[in-house]
Amino acid sequence: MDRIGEAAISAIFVVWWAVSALNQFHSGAWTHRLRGHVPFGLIPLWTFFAPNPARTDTRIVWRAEQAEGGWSGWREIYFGYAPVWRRWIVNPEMTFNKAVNDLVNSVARVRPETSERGILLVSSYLTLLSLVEAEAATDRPEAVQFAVVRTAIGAEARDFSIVFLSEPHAAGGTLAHVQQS
Amino acid sequence: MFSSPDLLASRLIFVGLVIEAIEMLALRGAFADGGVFSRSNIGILTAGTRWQMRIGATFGGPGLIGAAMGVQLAAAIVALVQGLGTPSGIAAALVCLATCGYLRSRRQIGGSGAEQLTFIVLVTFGLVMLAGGTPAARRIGDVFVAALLLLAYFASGASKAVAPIWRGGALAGVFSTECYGLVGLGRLLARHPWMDRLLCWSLIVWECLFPLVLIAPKPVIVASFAIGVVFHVSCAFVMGLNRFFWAFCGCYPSVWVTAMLLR
Repeated sequence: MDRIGEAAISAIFVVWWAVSALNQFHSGAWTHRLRGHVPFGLIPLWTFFAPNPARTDTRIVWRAEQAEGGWSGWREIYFGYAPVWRRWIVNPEMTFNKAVNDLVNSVARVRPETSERGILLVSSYLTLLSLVEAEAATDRPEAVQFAVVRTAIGAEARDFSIVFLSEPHAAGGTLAHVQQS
Repeated sequence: MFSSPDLLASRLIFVGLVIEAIEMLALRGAFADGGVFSRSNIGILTAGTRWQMRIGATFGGPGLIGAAMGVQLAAAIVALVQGLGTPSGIAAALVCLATCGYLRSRRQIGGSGAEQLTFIVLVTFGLVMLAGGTPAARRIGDVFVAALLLLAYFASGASKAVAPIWRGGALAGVFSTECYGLVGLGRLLARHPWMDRLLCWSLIVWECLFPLVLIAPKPVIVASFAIGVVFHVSCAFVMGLNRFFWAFCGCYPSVWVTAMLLR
């Protein structure tokens, strides 16, 4: 009985390792379909900061259109960064910032040529919008709009660039037909 | 790791699980309505995926996450103290497997490579136990964990070696972020690009050559492990990657066992 079990796990591990090795090529393109069937992220991609290392911080900023008209100033969904003195041992802020990065990278992977407004149906885009709506809820806005901003601390000052600007969305879930200001 | 449960090094991944539990307890509010990991957000994220990807994804709010992480904290401490050679240590590790699986499914985003490796090690241990937990099954589990670790280092090194950004020195840019950086160090490397290139190439060479530990003499294996410890501790201090040390260095006993089997 033990021999059968040992043979069975050996077979599982050989297949698992081979699929994991394949997944390291072309950012996992060869195993994309298979990964859609395997839960819990059991097929790893371990290129760690390569080929393009994170050289910027990703931030989500949003603004709200008030009932009386006019847009608020831009505000940031800020999770903070752990102070240097403790982040080497406990760093829960990393999870928040990684989650935002995961969502933004997923939005960025959407090819614009697929459909001009196809991004509105992408789950990561909708999740970002949901986050913004939750953040803006206390303002009771008519509409919200968000942007993804990347920042880095340069030699002299903070560099930043806007990498994505959403459409204005009616608060509550339907698309707003408002003029961008 | 599984073959030598009495070694303290074989228990390092459970320190990472203790830290994960503490961090998630601190973040459990993010699983409430309106939070980053709220049921509605995760429901949106997983809406178009297959049924198996949605198992537990929208089950439970901050209360259940808090309870699961409380259980994981206790179980990881038991496994840390007892090791994987005693019934209570084995049971505790399997409890960690369940809580980790739930957390991964319920949270979906924001995970790290360290969490992924830790979870894979726990799944491996679960399969080893399913196969009877015999010394042979434990060795098979160790060989698999070692093979994965070598793959992880090699893939990481090779993907950096083929990336022009890394070959020319990427660390000044990485260290100029708030998330992964130290401003002073980033500026120092920006002023001295040769230091940046030296660090990048040292990392690339060490990661690419790491698989050779399987056939290297014992002093070389120990030296490679020592470099790995220094590397992961540095990543924790400089970049805030606090759980990689526990996950990756925690697998070194498996590499040692595998290297000895090949002799």
